[in-house]
Amino acid sequence: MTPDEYLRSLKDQLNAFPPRERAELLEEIASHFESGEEDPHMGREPEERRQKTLAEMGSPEQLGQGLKKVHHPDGWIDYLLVIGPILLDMAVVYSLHLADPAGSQAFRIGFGLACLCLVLIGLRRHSNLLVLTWIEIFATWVISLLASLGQFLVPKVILDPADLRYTMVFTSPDALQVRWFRGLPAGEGIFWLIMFAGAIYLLGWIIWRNRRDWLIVSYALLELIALAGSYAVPLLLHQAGWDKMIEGVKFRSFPAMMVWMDLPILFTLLGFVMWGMLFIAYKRPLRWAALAGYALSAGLQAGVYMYRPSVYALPEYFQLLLLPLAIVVVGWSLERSKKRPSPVIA
Amino acid sequence: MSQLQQLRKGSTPLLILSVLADEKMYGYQIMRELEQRSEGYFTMTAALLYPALHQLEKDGLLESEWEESPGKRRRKYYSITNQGKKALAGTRADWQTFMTNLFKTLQPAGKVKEDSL
Repeated sequence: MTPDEYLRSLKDQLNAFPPRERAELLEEIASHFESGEEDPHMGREPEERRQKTLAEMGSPEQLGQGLKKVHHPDGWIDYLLVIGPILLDMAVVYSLHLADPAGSQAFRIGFGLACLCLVLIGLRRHSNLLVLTWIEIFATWVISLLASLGQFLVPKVILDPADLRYTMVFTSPDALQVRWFRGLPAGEGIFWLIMFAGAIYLLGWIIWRNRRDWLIVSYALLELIALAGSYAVPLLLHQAGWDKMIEGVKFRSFPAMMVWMDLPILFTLLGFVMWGMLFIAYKRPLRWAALAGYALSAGLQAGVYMYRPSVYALPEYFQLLLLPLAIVVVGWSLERSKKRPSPVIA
Repeated sequence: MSQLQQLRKGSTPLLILSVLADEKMYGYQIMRELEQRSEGYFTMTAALLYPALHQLEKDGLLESEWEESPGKRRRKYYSITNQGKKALAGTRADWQTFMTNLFKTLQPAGKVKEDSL
């Protein structure tokens, strides 16, 4: 192999990188070759020096893998690993409205295990965003599971498992909740609780490990707030007596539910787009802008779902709406105050 | 991977930070300096060195700048940041404690007693 062949092979390895960053990486390695070929300690003849330098390189595959592991340029795969399962879950859950109880129960267990698998995939892919996203979805789901039964210090509320953030508390228990959650064996509850504790530990570990990367820390805090919110909601609804009030409300059909949810769906779609930018964008400022957009959509969603005069006073509602955005602004300010160059890709 | 190889791989960031403690260097220069200081014991392939350099830069322990030189390709120089210096001091102390205790433990029991008398 010649240095040119090596660089060509490395270029293939780095094809997931944006052109400018790939060109910089290749230039750095090309200058390494040049230094080796000029170094008299590497041999008397140019060919000898070239071969010795090549021998010290390691394979282009190894080098490419190492650089990808650090810079993580194929964020679109991570994005698909978030959006794909979520859309699939929504489709399956809504179709399960018509399914038999045994099928719902199997899907419940399948969903929890799928979340855990996606966390593991995220760890394997060294994708903090992917891991954090699925930790939050999984942990919120566990809380909703426990809230449906009033187990492990989570107040019992009637909720629709089709939505992970307690959005459709109006749906009838007869239509959904009973089918979904009835018959949760005690052992299964404990299993999910242990997994929940592991997920929270992992979340803390990721924050600690990435404590110098304010973008990741801010995203992790957003997920943590969403998680705290998912516990706070049954608590607040319980205190406000909502769990008793909703008993008689009739189940809405899926199309009617969509009309009722048009605003939240709009915010959810905005969140999906922002997620995409956050996962895929290469430029740091663009990723911060995407995170701010995501935070705003999360705040708006929470606001739309959760504003009820009996639960929140208006100032609290606005705090809730703006808190995620405030976290991103603080994170961004802290990164800027460090005055050091941002990583090529975080 | 053997335990020794794992140990060597684990010490890569420390070795790089040590080499860059006094002056900025480019990748190839770091490899040579490392080899020279360790009298050939620590050799590192580029496939290991460059990802490690980029990771340290991402962690804020190193920073880099491109420098032009006439008639040659430009080179990317790495230098240690203040945060990197602090990390180096901390890691050095940890390794010193580890090595001292390791050697103490590895010595035959009789030798330890003799030394302590």
